[in-house]
Amino acid sequence: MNIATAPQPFSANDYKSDYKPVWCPGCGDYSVLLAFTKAMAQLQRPPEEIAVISGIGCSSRIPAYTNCYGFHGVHGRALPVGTGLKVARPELTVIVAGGDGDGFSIGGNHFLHACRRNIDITYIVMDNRVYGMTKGQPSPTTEPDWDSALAPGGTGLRPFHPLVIALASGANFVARGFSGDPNGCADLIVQAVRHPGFSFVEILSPCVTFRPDQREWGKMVHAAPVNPTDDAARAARRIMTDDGFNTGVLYAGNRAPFRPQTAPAAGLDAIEAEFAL
Amino acid sequence: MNRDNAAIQSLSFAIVGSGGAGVMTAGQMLLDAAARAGLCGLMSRSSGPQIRGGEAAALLRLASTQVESHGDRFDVLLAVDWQNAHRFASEIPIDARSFVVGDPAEGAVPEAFSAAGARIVPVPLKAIAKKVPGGRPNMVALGALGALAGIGAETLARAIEATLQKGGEALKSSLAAMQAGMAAVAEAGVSLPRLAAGQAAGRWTITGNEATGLGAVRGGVRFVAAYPITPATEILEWLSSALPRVGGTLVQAEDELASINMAIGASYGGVPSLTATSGPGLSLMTEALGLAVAAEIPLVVVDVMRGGPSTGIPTKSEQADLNIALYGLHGDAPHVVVAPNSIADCLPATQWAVHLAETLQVPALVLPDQSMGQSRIVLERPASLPLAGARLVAEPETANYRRYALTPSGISPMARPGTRGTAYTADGLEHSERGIPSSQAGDHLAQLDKRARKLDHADYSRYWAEIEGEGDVAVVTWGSCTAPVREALARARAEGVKARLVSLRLLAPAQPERLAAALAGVRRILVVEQTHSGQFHRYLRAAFDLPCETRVFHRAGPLPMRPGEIHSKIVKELAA
Amino acid sequence: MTAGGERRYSVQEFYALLYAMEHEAAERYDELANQMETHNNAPVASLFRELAAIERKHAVKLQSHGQSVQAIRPRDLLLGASFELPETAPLDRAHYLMTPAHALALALENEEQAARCFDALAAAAPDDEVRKLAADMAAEEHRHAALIRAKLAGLPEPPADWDQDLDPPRFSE
Ligand SMILES: Cc1ncc(C[n+]2csc(CCOP(=O)(O)OP(=O)(O)O)c2C)c(N)n1
Ligand code: SF4
Repeated sequence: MNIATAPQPFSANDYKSDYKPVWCPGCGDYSVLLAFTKAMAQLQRPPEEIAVISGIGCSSRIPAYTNCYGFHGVHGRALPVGTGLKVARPELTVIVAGGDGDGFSIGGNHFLHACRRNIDITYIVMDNRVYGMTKGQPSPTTEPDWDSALAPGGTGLRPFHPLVIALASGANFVARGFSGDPNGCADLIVQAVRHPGFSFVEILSPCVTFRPDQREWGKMVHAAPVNPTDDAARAARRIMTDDGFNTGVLYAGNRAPFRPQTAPAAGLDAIEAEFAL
Repeated sequence: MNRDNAAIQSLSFAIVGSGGAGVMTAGQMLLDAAARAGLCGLMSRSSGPQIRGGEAAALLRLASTQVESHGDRFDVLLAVDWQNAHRFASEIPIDARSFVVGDPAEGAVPEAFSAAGARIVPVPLKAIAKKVPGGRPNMVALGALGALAGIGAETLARAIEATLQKGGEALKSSLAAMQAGMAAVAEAGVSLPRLAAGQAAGRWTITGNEATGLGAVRGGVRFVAAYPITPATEILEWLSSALPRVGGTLVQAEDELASINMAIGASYGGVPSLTATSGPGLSLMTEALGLAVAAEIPLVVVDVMRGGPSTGIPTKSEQADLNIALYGLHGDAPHVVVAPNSIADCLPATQWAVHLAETLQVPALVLPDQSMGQSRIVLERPASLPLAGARLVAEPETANYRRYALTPSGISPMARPGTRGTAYTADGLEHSERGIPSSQAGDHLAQLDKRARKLDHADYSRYWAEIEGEGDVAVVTWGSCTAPVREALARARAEGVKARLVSLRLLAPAQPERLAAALAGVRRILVVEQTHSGQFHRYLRAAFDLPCETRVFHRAGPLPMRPGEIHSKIVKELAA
Repeated sequence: MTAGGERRYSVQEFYALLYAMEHEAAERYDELANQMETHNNAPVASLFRELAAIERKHAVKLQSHGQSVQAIRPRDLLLGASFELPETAPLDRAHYLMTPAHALALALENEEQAARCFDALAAAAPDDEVRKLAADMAAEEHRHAALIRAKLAGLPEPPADWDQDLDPPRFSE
């Protein structure tokens, strides 16, 4: 271990803005923000070369809390914004972040297609199995019997399985973290950013306000007892049969990332010539 | 020939046929040949609901000068066969002066057409084609129509060669069939007046959708996100091959919510961006349009209007998306709406929209319609416009950078991601000058004012409208109604009516002072539009000061507006 | 928690660990102080701010020990069941209505955990120098813990309904 490395230009704090989060104290999203700043410091990417893109939700407030370029768009559409940005500006590091409602419910279609398109971006979902921002309604990942005003007695619906869906849709990197372990999450984010193609990191991030029961998650999570695989079917089987609290890199694939069409350069005149008689 | 039209010397041809008859190809070749012969022209298409094998019609109008819309009647209706051709009766008005060319072997002329009393010209298209090895009736039809249009065999041959570039037997037999068709017309002893031809050299043929795509590229658009929808798809398809050649990119999105947000993301990244759609897609995009307003993201959205509401009439035209374009956004959301006033104008209007979007950092909607987008015209090469709108970009290391700074013009420098010292978060939440979310009354008002100010201060003087003619009455119109209005006014002027034409290219922000000036001295106007509810008229009433006497002619699509019906309204409403 | 687990540290590594611990602890108290400020809990905010200042003083002192230890990644140093370095207050323990007593109890846990960690390090130290350093640190953390315990004893117990909010949650997009 080499601890006497040269001082590095960027520390975690360099990725944090002076605008203070409005999240509830105790919310897992604070730790995800911390993990993000630590990860970027590990990567030593200058903050201005990173763009953090989000939709709407408590978790989606994250861009302005960073010192990077940020985009806080509309509910559910963060992935398309990130996709457009990355295709237009491939040299930027694009991180898309948000909640389970934003990503899997209103933005569900974009999630499938972002996995399939496999653009070289990282997608962090702070999964608290609830709509925090709208004061506690069930999300696609909520347990069927979770009681709430909008679904008294629970939805009775089977929760959505984002990691398996990501695999089935073609994501190239799939990991699960727990916000209570910001250093572990930072490592996952670093690996996700480094991995080519679409990297999906689901971070279990408790909503202490509407899901106080999730304060127990710290006791339930555990490191995945296996090494990551590049076999999607195997990864899917593992994830479908685990207890949902396995953390770590669960899949790292080898699919080539998306490449837009290219063509030999031509002037406008050459293009316009096709209209001439 | 439309003799009743003083301004335009033209001949109109309709070719109908069903499944695989090749009427569209024949129509396309006829337009191409006419262009090569120095004529101008227009071709639009109509078809049944079937994807393949259905009845189809190619509708052409050939003229000595540039034409942008169909006339009142067709000089020639040629049917390769008559299957379900009656469905086109309302789209192909014919009269006693018209010729109906049909193959006797295909049965009698349907009642829907024969009732007009046109002269029936039997030409055994199939039998003639059969005599040529590999010959096809549509090429016989091409020869017949070419002869009627006064286009020489040589020129028709060049048009066929340009399409059948592979040559070989197919080309040979097509040429022979075409010549046989010409001979058949000569034998039948029918002819039409000759159109005066001009210089073909330097002219283009282009569809409205291609012109829109080219306008975007000329304007600097280098990112397009696409979700296919009739009748906008051709814009996207054209851009998909054109963009990579100029260093741009097109991404096919999973839906319109994605396509507009992708375009917003790319534009946020500093690259001028566009998406194109039609009514149903625009409906899905409205939330993101508001985002682009609030976050001040330059963006162009083309809505090629089709019949609505809902899925409506995808293949036909109407101007009824005006309301959603003007008012579809929630909140006070000033944005730009530009409408091309002709097929040719799709190019400059789109380029102008890019210019406005980029310089004002707003979303700009462009509203052509199906009749423009999917029609092909012959025109002089469009001139380059001095419109290279560049956005105001923040300098690196700007001290105390405020993305949404309250500048006098309302336009504030927009940092390009990757630039040091100007990182900010673009936000659809109301925000402070720095971009920090804020629900404070002061910030809200300041930002609302700022966003309104940008649009108020912009210079629209050169392109906001087309104003033609003099007189104390005027027709006020927009979009694809403009060409038939112009034609109707030409007739009215020839009859002594002194009237102006005002066609708005800039629909939003409204320019009441400019319109008032354009209408100075006008005592009565006629508003012409193609909507069922009179959307444009209501908008003029709401946002402009109109002379006290305002008459309206509005009707729904999908039938194209005809100069004749507008002319009679002008006579009735304005001439009195 | 056994910081470092089976690992044996060189003096240099030990300083790196120390620095990382103090630095992280200070940062965390600052973060908690920020949260409390944002949520209008001034007394707890200033308490966390004080704790941050104390830890930061330690960190600065350690920084003078030469090598660029800022680069240390805590995960490289710590193998164990806990997610974070000893002395770092877990973020999920924060509550906007928490009282100074809660904050001090949290600080006490941190000091005690740090003390236990150094005890373990001292016991496992490969050489005398590290052993002495670890033992000194353990003693210091025990001393801190005692101070906090005394302070805590002077504070009233938080009422049973300390986390009761009379209003429902508010913000909403
Ligand atoms: C189009 C639209 N629909 C609904 C909302 C209201 N809304 C805001 S956030 C949210 C859900 C947030 O849940 P999630 O994405 O899980 O984020 P969290 O707040 O839990 O972090 C909803 C429904 C909205 N802003 N926009
Ligand atoms: S409501 Fe829940 S998700 Fe939102 S900030 Fe509070 S704890 Fe976090």
